[in-house]
Amino acid sequence: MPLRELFWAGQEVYITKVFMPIIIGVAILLPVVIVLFVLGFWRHYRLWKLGQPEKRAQNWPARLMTTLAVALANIRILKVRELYPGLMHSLIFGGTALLFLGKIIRLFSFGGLTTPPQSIFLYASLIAEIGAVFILIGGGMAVYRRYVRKPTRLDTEPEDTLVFIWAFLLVLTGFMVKGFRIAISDIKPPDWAMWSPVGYLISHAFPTFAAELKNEILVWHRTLIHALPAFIFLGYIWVMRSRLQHMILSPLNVFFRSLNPKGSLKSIDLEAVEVFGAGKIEDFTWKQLLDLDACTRCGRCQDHCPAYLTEKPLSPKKLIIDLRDHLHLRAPQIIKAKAKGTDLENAPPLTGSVIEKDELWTCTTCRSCMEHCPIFIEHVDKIVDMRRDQVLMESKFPQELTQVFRGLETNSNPWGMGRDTRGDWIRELDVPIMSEMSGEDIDFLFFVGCLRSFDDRNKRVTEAFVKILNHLGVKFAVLGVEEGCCGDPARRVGNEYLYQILAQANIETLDRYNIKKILTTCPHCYNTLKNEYPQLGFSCEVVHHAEFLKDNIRKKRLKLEHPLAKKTTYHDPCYLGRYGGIYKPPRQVLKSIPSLDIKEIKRSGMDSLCCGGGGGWMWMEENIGTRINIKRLEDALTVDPEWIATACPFCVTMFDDAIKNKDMEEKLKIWDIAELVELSLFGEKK
Amino acid sequence: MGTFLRAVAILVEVSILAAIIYALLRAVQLTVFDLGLESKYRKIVVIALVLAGSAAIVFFIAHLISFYPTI
Repeated sequence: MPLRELFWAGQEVYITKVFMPIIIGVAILLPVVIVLFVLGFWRHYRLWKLGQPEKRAQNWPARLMTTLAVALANIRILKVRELYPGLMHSLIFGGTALLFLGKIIRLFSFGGLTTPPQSIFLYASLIAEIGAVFILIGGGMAVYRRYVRKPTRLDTEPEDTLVFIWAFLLVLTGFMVKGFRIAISDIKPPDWAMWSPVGYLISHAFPTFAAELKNEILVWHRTLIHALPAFIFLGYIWVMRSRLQHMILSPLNVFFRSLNPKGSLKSIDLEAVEVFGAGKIEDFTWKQLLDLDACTRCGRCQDHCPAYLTEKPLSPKKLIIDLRDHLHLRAPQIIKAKAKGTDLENAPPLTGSVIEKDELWTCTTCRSCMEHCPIFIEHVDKIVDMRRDQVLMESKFPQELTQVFRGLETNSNPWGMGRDTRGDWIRELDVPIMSEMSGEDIDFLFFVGCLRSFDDRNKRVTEAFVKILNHLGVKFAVLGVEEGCCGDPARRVGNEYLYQILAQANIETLDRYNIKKILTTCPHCYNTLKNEYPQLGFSCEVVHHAEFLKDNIRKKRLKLEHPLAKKTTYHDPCYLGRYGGIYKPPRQVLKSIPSLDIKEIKRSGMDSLCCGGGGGWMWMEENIGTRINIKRLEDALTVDPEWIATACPFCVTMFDDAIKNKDMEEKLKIWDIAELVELSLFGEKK
Repeated sequence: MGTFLRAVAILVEVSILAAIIYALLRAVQLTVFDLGLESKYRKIVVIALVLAGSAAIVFFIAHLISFYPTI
């Protein structure tokens, strides 16, 4: 068969006859690439090994399923409804997969596995071309986004530009090889156009030699110009810590993600460990170090961070990148010191040198960064670990917290109000107290929480909810003065020691009364009781009042008959939505109120902006940038509401404060959903 | 006309080859510093790579002028 026909996508029976030089090249270069991959992976692995031990391998079938869903179907990007980057990523990823598939198919002809006319080569040609076109479209979209649209969340490093140029050149030279092969072939147009449309198109541009031998030499030149940079590219991305390593690191990070309840922070065995939190980079666990390496700098965390959006120094993305750069810088010294069996001297502390104090303390622990991260990086856990170091090891924290800690220690509430006044709201209401009951069975223990017990605005919510409970005839009781702070404020600011004292005290009380079911109106208490107390050996069913009200409305036990004709919007509390996954129940409650006109804020559900009260900020002065509660109120004002509804005492207080700050008390009101249910159930008070 | 088109074709091919050489040498530069070479060597590394790249381009131009097909 003449040479020019042999080049028609390999119509020869045995691939060894046509592509032997390529096979020899692959046989030599592939092991080199594999060695470079192992070397590149080892560079990361030795860094992760510096971290503290942590169990992350249990339940691997579930881990594998999520990893495949994230890696193959892009579900995390689709979840946050980002069509452009989602499509762009899918085209590049899918195109690369098709391109590789097209190349691998050629192996099937090896040793005569297929018979003439080797039609499988034709399919391979088409598949590879479709893949390459996908890469060009996806890459073009990426270039347009990064260099023309320039979203603030993206930062461009020299390596990023290089990867774009290199990948484009590989696709281009690939098409040039194919185009030239077509140009020197005798096969007539219809076949070419069908199986190699792009190659056929550009084949018209190539001048050819009259002598076949020269054409053959030029084909091998072109093949070399394409294949050698391709292999070097594969080697480069593994030796250099390239962004493209996310092909391996991202699925790995997804695989080892936390399977614990979303809201539970890592517990510390205070009796067993000597170092609390993370003061040095090696104090993080190996998974936390893997997080740092796996970050692709996509910036979704930053886009949704309330601190960043209100001009505070914290950007979750920058925090991760700064920690990663520090890890890469310090790791060789740490490894050397460990090899010598000595301690690393003059190791700079993380807080104050790598991460600024204002960065660390402006986090509201709203979890928006974690929910939006496509690869499950755990930002909040690292921030709390660094806060633990500051509070428990260094005794350095914002001065307002001194009062909070003292109040929690002495009176089990953040304001330090007399513990004996915790049950003052009960006086005028018909509320049974556990200590005054003589062993009667109850359906629920109503865990009231600090804000709903002491704060005047929130006490009205508690009263409304108690009226609803009494109306339903639910057998419930409260702990009264025996109830203590759940510990959430202490834990989120890093005082694990105080949290455990508070939690143990509550657990002792709850165990004494053999409590099996808890009802609460505070998402922070809800999260702590449900997701964090089990770490200390206590577990029972915990229900948030949004779910409770929804269930009773659905079962028609609560008949909401009085119309409330107000334009209302709902604000999702972070600890109810992103932490607890409770988005629908409060909306279902509101929808069941006659005439209530519900408008959704643009940033709602998973995208909801924090009210600014979490992570200890309820008790700290917000002096940098715009106040988060003002920003969130401005979000709400875009739908021009008369009422704002929510389901969290922190949010009620922060919105109340923002409304007063804007002098809007006459036009706008903040309500808890329990108050609206009460209004619709009993009618408005005259 | 043929001579002009040949010159254009050579220019296009040289541009593509130059881009490939740029990518390879830039990768070398980024990799050596990522592997731990101190930044004080940045200037000498850049000079060496620019010289190597220039030599490659000169070779490609000469090679293509001599051997590229006529149009």
